[in-house]
Amino acid sequence: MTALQSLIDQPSILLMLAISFFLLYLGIKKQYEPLLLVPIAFGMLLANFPGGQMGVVKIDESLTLYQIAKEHGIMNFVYYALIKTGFLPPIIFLGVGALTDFGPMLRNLRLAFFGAAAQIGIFTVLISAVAFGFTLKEAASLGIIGGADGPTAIYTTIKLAPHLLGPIAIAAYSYMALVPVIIPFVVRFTVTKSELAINMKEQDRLYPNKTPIKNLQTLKILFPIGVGTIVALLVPSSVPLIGLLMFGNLVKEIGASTGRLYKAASDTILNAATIFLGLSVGATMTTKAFLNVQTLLIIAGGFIAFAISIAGGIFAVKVYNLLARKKINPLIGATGLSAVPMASRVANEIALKNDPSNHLLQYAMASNISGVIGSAVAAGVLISFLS
Amino acid sequence: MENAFSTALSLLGVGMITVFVVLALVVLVGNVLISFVNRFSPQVELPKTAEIDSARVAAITTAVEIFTKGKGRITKIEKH
Repeated sequence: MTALQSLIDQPSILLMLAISFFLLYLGIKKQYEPLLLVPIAFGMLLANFPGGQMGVVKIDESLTLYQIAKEHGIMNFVYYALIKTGFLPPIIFLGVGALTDFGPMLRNLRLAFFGAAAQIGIFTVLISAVAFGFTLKEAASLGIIGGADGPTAIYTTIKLAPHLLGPIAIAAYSYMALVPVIIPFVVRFTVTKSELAINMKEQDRLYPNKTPIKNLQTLKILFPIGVGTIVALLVPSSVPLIGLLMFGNLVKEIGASTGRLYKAASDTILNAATIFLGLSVGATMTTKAFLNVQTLLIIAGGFIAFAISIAGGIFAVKVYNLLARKKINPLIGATGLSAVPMASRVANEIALKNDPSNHLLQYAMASNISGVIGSAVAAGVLISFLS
Repeated sequence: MENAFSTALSLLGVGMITVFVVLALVVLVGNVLISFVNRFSPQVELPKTAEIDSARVAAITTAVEIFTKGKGRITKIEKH
């Protein structure tokens, strides 16, 4: 009747419960991405209670959703209906779009290029992971952690290597939570004091923008429509992510007439999607799926992908500074990751520590937001090549 | 394995080039839209009128901003 005998028979379950408690501690006490880490950790906890039927299992996908719910429990129903279909990550992107302000990027468009440079970690770790015996699809799912975008990592993994969803989601969100530690760590080894002292506002005063924006409000409405169209035509496989990101942003920017849609996208829908995504991703982490060497390699590989992406952005700025008169602080390159807005806040803090007048948050946000587009495009490339 | 490596390497090339090209187009689209908006829909500047003092204009502007959550804009202020 009780699950106690199962715990004695399978002591590895105790380890999974301990990991769940640890992740809950990180989410609740240490505030590491609590909005996602808490549901993921609790989903993991639920999945590992023996006999609870809350763990996601591999099942015959020809079953109807009713049969899945009846035979394998509600968590499998949620997983196969909302995750395996790839439904929830784009829905999260809808909410992210509604919370995103493209204003800083539009004011500093040239900084958007560093959102591309910072995707290098994705592809370099992909190559390394192949060397460690991962298949191409698994390696791509591991590499996408370097994009520092949770929903993108989950979406790519669902499409390419769903059996790795749990560890990849955990690694992606843990490292996103550790951005305040990882960016300063990489910056310490790659950026000099004189580079850190480059004051972006001073550079703007010395070399002002040639084309001032005369109507930001209208521009912000047209931008998601234009960018959504261009990206959709070039990388169709990224449309589920970029398309909904841009739609969410559009309903925000239109203003009062679509205010209700904006409110729903940024609040109710985003929160509900986050709960279901977190719980069901957590529920994929059963002993069989999680306690293996691959998980350790994913945790290590994810960190390396993250660090290389940050360094990639920094070195792109360094190369740019060699050629341009108007210098850019390399911290702007470090924020080419997604992880919005935490990466920007961290970069701003590092700059202020070196020079209390060097406020570069708005500039960092430009490359940070373009990083969201960059990682979604990278995911689109991986999916279209490998699925 | 060798085949996987060469695919991974080509993915590095294709992936990075695609990301750069797409973001370059994003920058291009942004610049085109800025020029378009500046030319065809520039924000109407408030008429400077001696009849309404600046404190009142500031108060009206703030009220409109708060009421419309930053989305509204004043095109004309008339004194009756």
